Amino acid sequence: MATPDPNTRPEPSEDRDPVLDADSASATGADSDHKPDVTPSEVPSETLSETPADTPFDRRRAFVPVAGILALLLPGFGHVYLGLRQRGARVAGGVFGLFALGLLVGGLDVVDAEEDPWWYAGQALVGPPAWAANYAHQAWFKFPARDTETRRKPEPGEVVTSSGFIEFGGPDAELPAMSPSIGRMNEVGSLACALAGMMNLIAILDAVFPPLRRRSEGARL
Amino acid sequence: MMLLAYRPILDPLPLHGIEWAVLPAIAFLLAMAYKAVRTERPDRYWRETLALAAVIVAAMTLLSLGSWLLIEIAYRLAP
Repeated sequence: MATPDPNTRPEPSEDRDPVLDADSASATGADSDHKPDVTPSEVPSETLSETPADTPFDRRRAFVPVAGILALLLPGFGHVYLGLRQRGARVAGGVFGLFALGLLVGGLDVVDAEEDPWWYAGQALVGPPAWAANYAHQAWFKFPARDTETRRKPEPGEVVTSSGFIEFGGPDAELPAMSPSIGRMNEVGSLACALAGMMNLIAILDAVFPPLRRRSEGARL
Repeated sequence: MMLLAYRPILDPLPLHGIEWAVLPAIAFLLAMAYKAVRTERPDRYWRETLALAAVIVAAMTLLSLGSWLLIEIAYRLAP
């Protein structure tokens, strides 16, 4: 039995897998001068390091920070900026819908940066609608209490005097301008508004780093 | 009387006891936003959105059922 000469290249056999050979050679890094006995045209496109654009296998992404800023300022607008109007409209529908549903279920009380800062951290990612809701909550519906001078919402039975302080109004006092939400309605409302922010965060990241394969949908990348 | 006094946005929705009824709406809107970003086939967007919403609702229902079984049944079997 003849010993193989180490200076000669082995003959390719027909039962060898050219793709596996190419992968193993590149993975081990051994014999870097040795070229695999296959041409790129013989290798399936998804095994190449650079796959054709506009296919699901193309993982390359662009970097568009302006789109991310626009997506934060108005949910969905980042995708519209990229030329993906349909995706942008759908993002806006989902994010605004979740935020509006949260406000409807739990009331304006669920957006409160002072009393629920952790919830608000997620809700604030919705952008100006959440910032405006929090501003309205703090500026229009909270007043200083006469005894402690801490700003809070008047509770049932309390009134806001002409001097702007919360005082006890007795059993015949009018309903407060805004009712505090409690229990599960508060939890569900807070959750829906925070989910809206989380969904917009996903949209923001997708707008900042859009996949190049979106060119096939008309994206300007 | 409760509904007559209800002021949208200013008051919480009077759904105490049936909060779970909001879950399908939340699941659908969440799926709508998520699939708007993630879908690879825009022409199948609504189908994928409905499928994801159904999966969320089914998973939450099963989790609720599991929790109920654990709390109401399993503890009785413990030694």
